[in-house]
Amino acid sequence: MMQSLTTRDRDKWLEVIKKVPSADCYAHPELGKMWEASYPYSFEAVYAEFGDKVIFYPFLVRPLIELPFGKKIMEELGPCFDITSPEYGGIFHNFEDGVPYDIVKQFNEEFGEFCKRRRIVTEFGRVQVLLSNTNLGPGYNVRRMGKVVWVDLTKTPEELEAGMTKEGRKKMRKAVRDGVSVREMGPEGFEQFPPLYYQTMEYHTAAERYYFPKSFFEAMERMDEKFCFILGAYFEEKLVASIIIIQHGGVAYSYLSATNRDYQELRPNNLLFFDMLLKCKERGCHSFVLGGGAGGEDGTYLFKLNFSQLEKDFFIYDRLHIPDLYLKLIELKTEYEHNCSHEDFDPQSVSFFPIYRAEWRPGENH
Amino acid sequence: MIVGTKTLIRAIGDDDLPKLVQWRNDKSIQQNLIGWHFPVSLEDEKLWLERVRGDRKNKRFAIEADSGEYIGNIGLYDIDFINRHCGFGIFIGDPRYRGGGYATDATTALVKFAIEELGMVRLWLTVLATNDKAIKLYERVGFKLEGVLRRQNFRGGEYVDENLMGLLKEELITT
Repeated sequence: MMQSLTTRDRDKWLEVIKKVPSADCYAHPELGKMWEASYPYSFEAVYAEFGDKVIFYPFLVRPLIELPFGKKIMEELGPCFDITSPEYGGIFHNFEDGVPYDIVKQFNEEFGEFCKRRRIVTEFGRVQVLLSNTNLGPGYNVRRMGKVVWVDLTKTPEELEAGMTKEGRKKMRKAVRDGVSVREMGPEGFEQFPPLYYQTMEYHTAAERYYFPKSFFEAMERMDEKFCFILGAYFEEKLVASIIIIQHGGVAYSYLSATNRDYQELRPNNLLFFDMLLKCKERGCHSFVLGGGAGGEDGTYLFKLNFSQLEKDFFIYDRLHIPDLYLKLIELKTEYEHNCSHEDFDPQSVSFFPIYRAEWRPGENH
Repeated sequence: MIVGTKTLIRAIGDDDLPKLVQWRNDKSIQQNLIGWHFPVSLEDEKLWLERVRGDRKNKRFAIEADSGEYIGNIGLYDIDFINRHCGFGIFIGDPRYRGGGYATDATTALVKFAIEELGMVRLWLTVLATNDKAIKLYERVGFKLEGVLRRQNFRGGEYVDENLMGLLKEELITT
């Protein structure tokens, strides 16, 4: 029988994930703090126990009133929601040989009922890359979306350095020679990070969704230091690059990073990333997920390959829970885009899921 | 690029157009393809390529053999991301590469891509009912006959049926 949890049930949540060694920071209630403090979202989870075996599924519930045509949705359809994974996610479990099909199917059906009751129209997520648990059962559409780079932190620091590309090592040594140093930042780091981060997002002309509000970073500051910490690369006591790391269950992730372009020539990121790996190793992590690129194997991806050549396939999944409402939401989205003079908006040609959340840029392939 | 075992699927480039003109004007190829075929010039093909490059719903690609030669075209048509289905089409223009498993390999690779990376749950195609070789190829990959469009095409002085075939994502045969 499936049970549900919210971050208010923190003790129970922690008790359940304690049984699942693979549950990392994306399954931890601490993560909910930053989302719930800044967005009208709720971080929730469902789980089912079968003796000492557990299936655990964490997710973010988002109200659709946050969409630009949210008022219209409320007027015509009433409150509607959807689900996404907080970056990576999917199902975490402690079955040795994978979850048996009948259990996945039952869990899947009960979750479908849960979503219908809650008026959750769609579900979208990114599968935790080291687990690659794509066995989600009927109703789910799983797609491969390229690759991510990860680092095996069970290696010694010397082996990690030797595992870097020649060019990566060269740039890292150059940064040291030029006087760049890396250190862990205290709570002030989360105040210094946002301006540098917004500057970086502007440089990359990032989509609006990447401009997290200041409250998001303030919430990170309040998070358990064992769970979330920040590193800074300094040159002559000036912060030139910084990175926020989240970790739990032996797996660490580089969550957000920022660089001052004026100091790009010092290559502070090469040193920052390497020191980040060492810090996470010191903290007892066995794996570090560097992630992928912004669009396939681009410059960001190639930069990450400097630190490790270990790659994993990256999968996304989606599921439609209330088809009637989904089609109505697409109609409202189309009406909204056409009213915004995007006459060429054609929902059938939008590959983004769910279609009603697509950011339409006329003339581009979607 | 989409990589098969003995083929590679890539964008159609300007350099491919002379060969494409030759194939489009080749009666032996035309007789097995659906639709009416007028003679085309290099200029026509340039305009066609310009047009299809910006097309969101129809994606056409070149097939390259393991020898590096451009051997034919392949594509996905009427892509519908709401209902998650699309049409499929292929032709091998270079006769030296017919019957060697190149079409099967490229078809498998693109259908797999459409399912695994575009999230399609169904692919469909139409083929002349007289084109046995193509029908066998589609069946090898997992397409099934779903219906017959009777006397849909006029070929060589007579009306020919057209088969509608479909493949659901769990039906793809990759070995």
